[in-house]
Amino acid sequence: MKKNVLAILMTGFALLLAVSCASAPQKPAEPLDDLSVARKAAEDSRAKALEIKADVAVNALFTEADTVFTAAKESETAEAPEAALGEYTQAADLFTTAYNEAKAKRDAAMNALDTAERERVASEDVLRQMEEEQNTEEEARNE
Amino acid sequence: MNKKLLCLAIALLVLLSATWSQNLLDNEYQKAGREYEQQAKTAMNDGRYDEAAKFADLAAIEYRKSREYADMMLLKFRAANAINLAQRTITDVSSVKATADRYAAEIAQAKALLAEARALYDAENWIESRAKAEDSIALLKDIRRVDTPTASVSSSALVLPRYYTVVARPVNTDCYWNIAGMDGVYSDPFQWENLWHANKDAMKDPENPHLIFPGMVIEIPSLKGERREGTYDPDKDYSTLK
Repeated sequence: MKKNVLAILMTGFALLLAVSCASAPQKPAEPLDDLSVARKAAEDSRAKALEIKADVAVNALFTEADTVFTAAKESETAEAPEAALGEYTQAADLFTTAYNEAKAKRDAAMNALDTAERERVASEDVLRQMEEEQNTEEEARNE
Repeated sequence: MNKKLLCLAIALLVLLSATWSQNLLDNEYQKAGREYEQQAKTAMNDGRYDEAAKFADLAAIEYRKSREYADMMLLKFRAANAINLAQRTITDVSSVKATADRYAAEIAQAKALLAEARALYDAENWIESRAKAEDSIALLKDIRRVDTPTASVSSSALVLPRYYTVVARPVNTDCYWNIAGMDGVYSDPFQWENLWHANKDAMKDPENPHLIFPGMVIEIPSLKGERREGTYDPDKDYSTLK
């Protein structure tokens, strides 16, 4: 009899425990993951923009992106993950825009430098030809 | 008088050549282009791409100007050389009286062409100037090479020959080496290149010194300022003039 009572009590306790665990509130894991991804994306975009010297080439745009990036970090520190998420995302977009604009400017400058180099080579060719003719003339005169 | 003019022309040409050479290598456009290009590269390294593009554009403009300048100077130099050569040719031909008398009309025409060439040169029309000078040279070229008679040289005063007519020989046939080694020419075969360089414009293949042909009249340039006149006479003993 005692054994039966104990078994019933044990089963009841186990059921109670199971029910209480199932209804307990879970921690919000997803927003934290998104934040990490957004932070990483912003950091990568920033590094890429810096690599191409966007901070100099498109200073205003880069500064704007950096301001948003700093605000995102502050929001994260202040435990405002949703605000931080939005700001990191915005900062990443701005850094990407800065990168693209700086790259376009760099490509244009490289093209202009290539053109200048071609013009230099062409002018040096004429100068060399002139020198050769002068030397030939000098030799002929010396003979 | 002619000789003085010739010396003056040569001296001016040497001076101009040196000046032009310096100007061309360091002409203001080329220098400016190099400076702009350097500034463009520095700006590029700093990430100042807009400035880099601007400086590179300026460099390209300066290099284009430099090339135009060099092109112009090249034409000027060629015209000056042609005028100089035309003057020398007229002087050469006029120096032998018999030739000067016989070809007085051609010489007068050559002088007129040379005067036109000079006027065009002064008017900075280098292309036409060179063409006129070359016409003048062409007019007298054959006379200078072929019609300088041995008879003009006094028989009592043997002088070194200025021209030599190439002949074919069964053994040791004529070549620049053998000709240079002859008495009356240089008596030194190692001087053969002087003959080659002086006669390139009369050769079918100027870069091949082996290709000279019987009947070709070659000029023997004076090496140390020695006087040379007339054509080589194989019957004369030039060994006494060594």
